[in-house]
Amino acid sequence: MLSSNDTAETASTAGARLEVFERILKEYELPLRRLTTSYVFELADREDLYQEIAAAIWSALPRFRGDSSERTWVYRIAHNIAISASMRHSQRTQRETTIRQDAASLALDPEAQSIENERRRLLVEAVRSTHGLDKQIMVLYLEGLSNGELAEVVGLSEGAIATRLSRVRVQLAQFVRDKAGRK
Amino acid sequence: MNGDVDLRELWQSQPVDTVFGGRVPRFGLLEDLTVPVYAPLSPWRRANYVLLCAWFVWTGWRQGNNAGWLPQASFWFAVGVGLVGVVLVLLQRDRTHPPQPEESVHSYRTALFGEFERQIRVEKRIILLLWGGCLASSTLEAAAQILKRGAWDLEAVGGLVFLILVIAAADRMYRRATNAVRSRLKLEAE
Repeated sequence: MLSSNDTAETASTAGARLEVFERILKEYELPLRRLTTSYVFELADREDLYQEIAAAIWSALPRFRGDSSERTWVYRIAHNIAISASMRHSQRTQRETTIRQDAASLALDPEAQSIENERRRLLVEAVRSTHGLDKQIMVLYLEGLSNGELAEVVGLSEGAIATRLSRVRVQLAQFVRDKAGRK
Repeated sequence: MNGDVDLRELWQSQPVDTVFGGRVPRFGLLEDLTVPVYAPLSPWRRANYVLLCAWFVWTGWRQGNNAGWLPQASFWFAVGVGLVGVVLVLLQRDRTHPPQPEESVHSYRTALFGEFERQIRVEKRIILLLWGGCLASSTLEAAAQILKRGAWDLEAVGGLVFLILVIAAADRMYRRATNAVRSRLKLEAE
């Protein structure tokens, strides 16, 4: 089984490329699907965007030389493809995100789960309402990337990332508080 | 920092929907899947294409229905100028590379909007050359009619005025399209 360390060496080898590709998609599927929710609204559009990202990763695999970590490489491709896709999609009215209820957690505490879902919905709404570099930094930060990894993906210095990040964190918390307070 | 952990957990716990049940797409047989990027097309640019096509259809119909060599020569002169112009522009086009998705987000965005500007620039040259060809042919036709009749032909003059206004409007439209691209890049990079 190939690991992330093998990406650079084996990506250009026929046969191994497919194995590396499948491993990457399995490992990053959830973060990539979450990323699509922040750029496009409709489910079919999100699936199209996910497929485009997967296609771009496949095409870029032979060019990967290990000069960055696999994680930052995948996130760069994903965000860049999403930027191109968002230029093609027309502005649509923001719709409520349909939150699928987890049956097991509902059985535990329905009221707590409902509050949790509402906060999650507001968070997704907050991310969708931003544009440009702020959106990218928000999503990458929420996915748990460090400042160094953020700087590598976005292409800015760590200092510039730290400045933007402090502003983004305040914006996020404020947005969720304001919206929750209005209800 | 507990708030940060809370937001991250909240984000990462969102359920994600899939249309195809999360199957891994198969690209084994496809080597190059670069998705082309095109500058967004405004309604005004679309309207310009329609107007240009309508003008050529109208002049083509006119030269086919009117007696005399002048309308026919005028039409083919416009077509000739347009085609020569298109060939010259395509031969001289900037050979830029499309942005690669594995670049940093900042570099990719800059390259992407640069590509949009290049597309708008090439389109502007082609469209203005085509309109310019129409104007040149209409001017020659109007001049020939004046020499022949010794008087102004209102229809021809009206056509010239219309073409001048369309060219001026098209030039302004492309300048605005270029400025819109630059403004959008500046906004997204802030």
